Amino acid sequence: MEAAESLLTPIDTVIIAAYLGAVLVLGYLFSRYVKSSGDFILAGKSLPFWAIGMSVVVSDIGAIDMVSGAGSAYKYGLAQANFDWLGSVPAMVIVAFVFVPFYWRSGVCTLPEFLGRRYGPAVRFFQAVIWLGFLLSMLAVMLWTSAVFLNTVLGISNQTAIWLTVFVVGIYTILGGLAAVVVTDAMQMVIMFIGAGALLGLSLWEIGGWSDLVQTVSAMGPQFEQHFNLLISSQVDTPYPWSGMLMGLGIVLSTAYFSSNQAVIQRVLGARSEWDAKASMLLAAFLKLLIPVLVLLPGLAALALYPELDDPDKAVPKLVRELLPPGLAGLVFAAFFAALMSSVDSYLNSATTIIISDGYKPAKRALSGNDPDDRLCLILSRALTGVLIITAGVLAPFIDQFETIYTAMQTLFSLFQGPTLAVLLLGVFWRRANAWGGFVGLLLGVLCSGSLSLVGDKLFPSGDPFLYVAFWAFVFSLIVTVMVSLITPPPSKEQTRGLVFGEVVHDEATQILLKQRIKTD
Amino acid sequence: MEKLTLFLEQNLVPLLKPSVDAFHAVIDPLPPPVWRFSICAYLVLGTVWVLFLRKDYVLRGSPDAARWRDLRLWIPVLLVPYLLIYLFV
Repeated sequence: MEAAESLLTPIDTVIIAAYLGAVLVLGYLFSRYVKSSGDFILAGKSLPFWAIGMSVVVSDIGAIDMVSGAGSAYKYGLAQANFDWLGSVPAMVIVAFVFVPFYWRSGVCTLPEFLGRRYGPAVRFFQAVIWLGFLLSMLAVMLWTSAVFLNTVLGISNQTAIWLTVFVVGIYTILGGLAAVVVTDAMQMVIMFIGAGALLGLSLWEIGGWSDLVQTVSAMGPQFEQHFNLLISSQVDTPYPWSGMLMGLGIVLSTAYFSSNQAVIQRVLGARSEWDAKASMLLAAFLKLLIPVLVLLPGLAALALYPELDDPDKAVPKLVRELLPPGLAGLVFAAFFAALMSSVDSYLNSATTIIISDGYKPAKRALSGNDPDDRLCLILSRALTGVLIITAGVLAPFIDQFETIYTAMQTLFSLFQGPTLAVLLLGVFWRRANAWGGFVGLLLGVLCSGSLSLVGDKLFPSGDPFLYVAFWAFVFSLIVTVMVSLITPPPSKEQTRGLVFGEVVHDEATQILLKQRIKTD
Repeated sequence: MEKLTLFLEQNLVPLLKPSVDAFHAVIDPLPPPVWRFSICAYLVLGTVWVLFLRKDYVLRGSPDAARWRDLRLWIPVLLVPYLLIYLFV
């Protein structure tokens, strides 16, 4: 792709350069505190709740979401906001008071690690591979998205844009580890909120206010009738019917996302205390209230101002190009970089953790019988971070050619969500759940998801029934895991010690045992 | 993949369709106030149980016992805006 002419004035470029410089300086400052692999992966358990809360929110809203979220609002309307509202509460409250204390006290570092201890190495391997594949493909996609955006606004070539992002994100993540990631995320959230708020304010000013926005869009025709409805009838052909939102998103997908997402778990485990870990999730749930306002409403504003766009994803770039004055444009572009970098650094750090915790450490123990040297783990973590970001940078330009692989990875990952939540819940709350139950429940649950996805349009009232599919696959997986566990031998008390909720949270003897295990790990 | 889809359409869909249709025959005609009530009930039920947790469980790890650190008190502050959204938007 040819380099386009820059849309930025010199003042915009100065703002962006200052922002990138500040991020690199922060990464360098934090590198002085990284002395062990624990410091690198879990920030030495030193993070305050406000930084984790802000980091969780900003990692969740990447640059792709800023563009495609507004695009979805342009196409489908306000119902898209449910993904941040109903998708946050009560899931984040449940995670704060059930899963956070559980992960914190049981000393696990990743979801595959917990499932491996609870159900055996086969389940751990499946989960680790799926998460790793998902994180890597997402890294390549994010780098490509950033290249296209940077090419449009700065006029630099795609290759330069990719390696610029690789360099900036790679440097501060390699140097500072999770602490640098979380603190830069907190700074990035402030910039993102200011930039997105400015874009929203100017858009509404241009239209004449909220009531004019509603009036303009509602007058555009019957296909826009539902655009300001948060809840849509299940009898309308929409991917977001209210019943699907409640069952698929509210009960299954949101709980699965926040209880199993490595980026979330890792931040929470990096908290300086269990209280900070719990409080961070509640703060994040509160901040999520603002995301639809800042990210989705510009999409609706673009619909009122530019109803003829051929691609809804062009809504935000169009607003940026047409409405922003010099200086403010730089701030909004910095907000875009902030969103991009906060997601890339999180995925990068999480992928490294999964490889070290679920690949290198168990393999080293199995092969040599010894625990791996911590100094070596730190060197390896840093080297892996570099290798992963460079690999993603090399793959990024080919992402168009490998679109089918990316789509397959995304689909496969989404198929795992419901069944993973089912085996996770049973593993945490039901001592009787055993390795066979977990393995078969996960396997048949994923097969059920896949089958329902293939014929979903013939089965459910919606043309894109992914919400119903997630719910029914979750229920199916729950039933299968219970049935298979009941007809196979129960796990011994030793096998489940320190791995079920009641023991981990209330039993003092188990807690002492777990503390010793965490120290030796 | 096409053969698999065809196989599932011929075998799985007829098997599940009656149950799925029966479920949606109940859910789909429900009026909008029931949607709002269901979502709000889910929000309330999914969060208010925290109010009944023991204080030492909620405060564990807290550097002091200041009133604002009692995370149970955060729940109403968090829940009310969400309820207002789903009741009135």
